[in-house]
Amino acid sequence: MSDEIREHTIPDARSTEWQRVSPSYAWVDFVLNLLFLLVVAAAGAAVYFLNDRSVPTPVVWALAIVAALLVLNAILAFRRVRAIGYELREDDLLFRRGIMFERIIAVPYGRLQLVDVTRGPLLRALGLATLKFVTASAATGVALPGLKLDDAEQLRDRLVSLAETRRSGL
Amino acid sequence: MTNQSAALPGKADAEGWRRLHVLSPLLRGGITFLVIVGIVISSFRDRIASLLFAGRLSPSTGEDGEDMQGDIVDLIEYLQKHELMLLAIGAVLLVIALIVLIGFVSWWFATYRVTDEAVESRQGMLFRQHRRAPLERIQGVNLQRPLLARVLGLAKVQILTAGQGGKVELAYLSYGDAQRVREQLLRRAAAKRGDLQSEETPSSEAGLAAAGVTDPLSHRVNDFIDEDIDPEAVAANTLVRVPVGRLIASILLSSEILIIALITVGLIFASIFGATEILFGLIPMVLALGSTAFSMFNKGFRFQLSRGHDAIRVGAGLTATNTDTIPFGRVHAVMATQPLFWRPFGWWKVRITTAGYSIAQAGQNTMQNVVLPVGREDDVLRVIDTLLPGAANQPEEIAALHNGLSGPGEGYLKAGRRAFWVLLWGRKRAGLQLASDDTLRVRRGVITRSLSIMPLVRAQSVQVARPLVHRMVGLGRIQAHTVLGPVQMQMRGIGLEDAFAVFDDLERAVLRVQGADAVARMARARHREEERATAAPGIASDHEPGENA
Repeated sequence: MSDEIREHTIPDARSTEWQRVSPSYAWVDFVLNLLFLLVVAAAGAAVYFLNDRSVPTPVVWALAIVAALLVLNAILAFRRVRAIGYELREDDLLFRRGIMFERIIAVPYGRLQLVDVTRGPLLRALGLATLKFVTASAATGVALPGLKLDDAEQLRDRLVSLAETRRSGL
Repeated sequence: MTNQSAALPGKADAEGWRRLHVLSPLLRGGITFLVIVGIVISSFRDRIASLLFAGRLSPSTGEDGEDMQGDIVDLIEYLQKHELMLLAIGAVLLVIALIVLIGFVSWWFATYRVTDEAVESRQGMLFRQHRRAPLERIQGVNLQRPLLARVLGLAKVQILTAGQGGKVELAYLSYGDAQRVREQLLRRAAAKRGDLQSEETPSSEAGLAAAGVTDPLSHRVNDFIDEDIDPEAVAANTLVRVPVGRLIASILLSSEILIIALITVGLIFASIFGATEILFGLIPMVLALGSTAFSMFNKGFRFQLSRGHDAIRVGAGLTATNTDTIPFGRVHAVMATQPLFWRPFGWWKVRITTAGYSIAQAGQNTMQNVVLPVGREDDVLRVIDTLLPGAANQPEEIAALHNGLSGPGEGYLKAGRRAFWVLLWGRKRAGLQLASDDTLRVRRGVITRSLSIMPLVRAQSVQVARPLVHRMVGLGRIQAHTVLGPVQMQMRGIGLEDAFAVFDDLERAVLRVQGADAVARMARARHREEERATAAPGIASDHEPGENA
């Protein structure tokens, strides 16, 4: 690495060509959200059996609303996954996510403490993995779900080597 | 190395391991001991009471052993009756011997060592624990002295690192030894970082000796009073103190106390106009009021902040004293706050985020991480200049800080149009500035005003966000992430265009500053390596001879 300090002419955060995660991750998100519906159904069943095989109308309404919200949230998974994007810039990782709570985060590579690659059973079935970029701040929270396993491992090695050349103190 | 080890207290074995103070098991088990004594005393108090009021109260002693109600006195009478006293005394003695033995064993196996690379502690016989903290990872060194430890002239040394629960504790050492260990640690850590040429500094012990304290008793008294100030700070006059009167007034006017007091007054009024039974609710409120006020007083009493040549020292305490030492460059963010009723007096409180503290004891209470419990603006400026050297020693820098603290906030990026929806009346004061000394400054607040400052070199990441309400009124939120701590570097309600522009500027500046830091760090490391290679050319075989020259 050269000793001279590079001029940082990073492009605007908004004019970035985002790299997207695998669209099939949306199905994982979708299924996980639908699992909550089972919880709602179980709650309904519990009320039904504990209350002499009848469910009071307010409870029916409440459960119906919760269920509707969950279904909506599950369907939004497809939109949500499309909103996840990242870009490896020269000196930092740019990451965005969220539709209703949109956020864009820039993390200098030198701040990398460790990279996690995790795979749940659903992700594994689709050959995907989640990559977590951990800094000393808990608030950074950069997690790239739904990367292809090979990509995730390549990205991990790339990030670690980038961090190694730009190491700065805590 | 050998002459440095000589400066550490106590005898070391061949590998450099040293023992803690002999009395430390007593203190570490001190709480249990006190509880047992308390139980015994309280049961005898019943006994004494029943003796005094023998006529009126029926004595609790039963006619036979079956009647005992868990009372130790009853137990003793039962034992006397059945002639088991000797056996019981034997059992008690055995238990005591066992406790002493366990204490001795735990003391015997608890050792520590300070090398040129790291500080290490070992403890336990069955379950051994060996902790090692590299010197360059030390985030701070604290001396803690609970009341009992002060009476016995002992102190606990806490060496903080950035990890979760990452601290090495040496509990307990004699106070002087603890100070010497701390000074050695800090000096070696500074030498390791290569930040400065570490020369011999006068120790606090030497300071006491210079003050003419020679006889053991006054030495002990001084020890108890615990004036733990860096002697260099006295010389350089970089000392901030808090007068007791101001501390008391500030506590009475603090939001915590005022809220509790308001509720108390409310309860009194409610009980006057009818519901007398509400009066019982007063007791916990008054207790809360008293204990909060006392704890604030206790933690802020005799507060002093001083700057040595490689660290900042913060000390305070009435019953239990605590002195924290933070090496330079370990401060991640600083925040000055001013509750509403402090405003007429121009008082501020200053808190910091550091990697050591914050993760070890994140937000346990509001007195944590305080580097100035209450002070006027010039105190705040001195504290900020101490924490972030060079931030407030030029007239224009002072003017800039004054502008941010209590001025109009000129040069700050203000909240956007329609920011009322997210900031309410706070939109007037809200502002963000990327200052020329490479710090990020954020001012906030309506009722409690604040100014937060973060050196860009400490930023972990930068974020721009558009939560729901912000999105609906076309605003954005900027946030710089630091390690966990009380200081939030966040500005809400910025116009969207400004927010994105600031985000890009901020990240660009962060990369520039941190890139320069990384380069300087590498140059320093290389320089150190070369130095080492020239010092011992035989060892550094992996270097070209030409490179060393």
